[in-house]
Amino acid sequence: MMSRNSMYTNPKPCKHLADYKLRHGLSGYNLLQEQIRTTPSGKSSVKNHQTEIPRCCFCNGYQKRLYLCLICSSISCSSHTLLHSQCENGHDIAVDIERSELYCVLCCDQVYDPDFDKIVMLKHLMDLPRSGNGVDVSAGRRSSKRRRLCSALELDLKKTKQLVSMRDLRAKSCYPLGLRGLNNLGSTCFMNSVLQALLHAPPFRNYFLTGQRNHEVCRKRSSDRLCLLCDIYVFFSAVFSGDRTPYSPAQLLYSWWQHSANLASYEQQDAHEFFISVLDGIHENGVKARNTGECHCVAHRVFSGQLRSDVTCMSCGYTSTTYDPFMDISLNLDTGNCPSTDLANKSLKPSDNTYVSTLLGCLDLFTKPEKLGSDQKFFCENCQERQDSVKQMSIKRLPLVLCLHIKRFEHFPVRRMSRKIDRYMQFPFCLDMNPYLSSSVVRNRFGNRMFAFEGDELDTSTEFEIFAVVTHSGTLDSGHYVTYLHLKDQWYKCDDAWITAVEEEVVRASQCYMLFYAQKMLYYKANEDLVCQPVSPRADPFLPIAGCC
Amino acid sequence: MSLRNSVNRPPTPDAVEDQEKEPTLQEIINIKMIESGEKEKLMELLRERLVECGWKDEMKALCRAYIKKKGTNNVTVDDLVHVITPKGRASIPDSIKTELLLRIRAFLASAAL
Repeated sequence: MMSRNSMYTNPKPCKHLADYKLRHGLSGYNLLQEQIRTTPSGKSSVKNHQTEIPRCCFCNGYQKRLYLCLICSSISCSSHTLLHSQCENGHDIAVDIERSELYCVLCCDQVYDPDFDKIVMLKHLMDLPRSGNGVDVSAGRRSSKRRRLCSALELDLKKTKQLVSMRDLRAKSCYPLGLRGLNNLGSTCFMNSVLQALLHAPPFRNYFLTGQRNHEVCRKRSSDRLCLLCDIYVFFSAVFSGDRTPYSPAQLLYSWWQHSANLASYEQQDAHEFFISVLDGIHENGVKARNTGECHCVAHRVFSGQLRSDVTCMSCGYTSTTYDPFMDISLNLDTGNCPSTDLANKSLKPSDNTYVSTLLGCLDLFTKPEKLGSDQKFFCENCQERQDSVKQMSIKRLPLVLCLHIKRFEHFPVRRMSRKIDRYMQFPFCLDMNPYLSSSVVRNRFGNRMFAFEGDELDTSTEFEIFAVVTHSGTLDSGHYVTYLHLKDQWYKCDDAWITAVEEEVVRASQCYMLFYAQKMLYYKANEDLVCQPVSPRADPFLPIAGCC
Repeated sequence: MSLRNSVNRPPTPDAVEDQEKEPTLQEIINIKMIESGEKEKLMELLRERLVECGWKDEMKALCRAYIKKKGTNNVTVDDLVHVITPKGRASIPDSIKTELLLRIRAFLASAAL
């Protein structure tokens, strides 16, 4: 079985490794496999006996890095590997016994061989208890992948080209299509901000604009009942009609109130809660989900992904893996605080005040292995008792549109107090999610071996482009939501009814609350079709457009 | 007939005997710790602490900076080890050193050395 490296190529073997492979093939590796000792944490080392002390055959030292010759099994320390190679011709390849990594004596460097990593990984698999090992050699789940690609194509933008002919002549500005202010109906900026983001989520937008939602035959509407999906369709048509006067999404608000009765009020709500609630409403109103497999409602097709959670027993290494779907990911802010540094102790970082939170830092925090507290001991199936364990999250499958929610509202149920975290967080416009995929995270656990880990998919893109940022300013009780949209290389600030073009620095400096990223290809295709309407030469260029500056 | 020098030559000391000096206290402690499995536990603890306090990330960043400066094809693992080791040793937080020393002392007390 060839190992596939999805996002990087195997380094080429050096001349010496290539020669060794020609002459000895896999025999050295196979003999070594017996001596590899693995730990539950994913580390592997070469040891004949647990308590033997390997020593250099030249100087008897045991404190430096020690290397085991693959041909004659003699051990040399880093100072004497070259000497060994000179004494014995052709003994150029060795193994770092502490780390189980290949080393070429003549190149003085680490070398890589997928066949060797395979041997090491197989030993891990043999040592780990039963099937719950967190490492699966899958044959590749191509069928589900193909289905997802087809689904993405259905939401393709090709059909939207028909929109060009439906352009309303009232549009006078050169703003892209679909940019329209939304009136605040009474503390409804939480709704307006999320709606602006949804309006421009490429596959979501296409679904509603290409008439896949045929509201004329909607059963609910024909019986005079409210249908959230129809209302959204009407909303999309209104915003993309070309009319630039600010729109009042009253019908949509009313429809949503019906669905989420507990949130129906004129009080300020949480934008993230609204987002989840709307998606839920779409799901319930839409295509009935089949019992097996994924749901095909537009909300799921666009936003749903899958998370993987691994809980590993620290005693025996048994890993329990569960998969859960998600519509968005809520991230804690990374603050750069390390748990074990004392105040009196000189820590590495100069001071916590200068540490800048970043989105990548938050994602690192999200996928970081977390030691479960002693009160959360996991019942290990293998040990048959509660053990200390480590939990690690990773992303099994990315959605077409990724919504990242920054947890800025902290609730203290004991003190019955809530507060907002105003800390600034830096975020990128282009995001590569590869390091957070399950395949990368699991691979990292075993020392970055070149081995086909579950979920290694060659043709799934992990690159995303940002298209909307929902920001919050103010306090928990009285604040204001504003959305920044990224359309055709220009940023627009959508503050209820007021839309203005802004520089990207303004967006970078804003306090983000929800970030919306679309898969790169979908984003670029969507922007191709958002043709800027040229100002008609006969129109008065200074005619004010209500709601736009 | 005079005895040939070669017959009277004292026996050549074996390579092994040369190295068979009295093991130092450090070596004895090390051997005892490995044999009892304590060394393995302390290594695991050390690794955990160094990750927690950000030392590992700091070293990773130093390595990246060095590789960036020299170019990916001009750096070997040996280079990195030589460059990073002094900085790494110098930047270990005192709290970690203290903790490990306490553990080793406790071990010595229990092993009655």
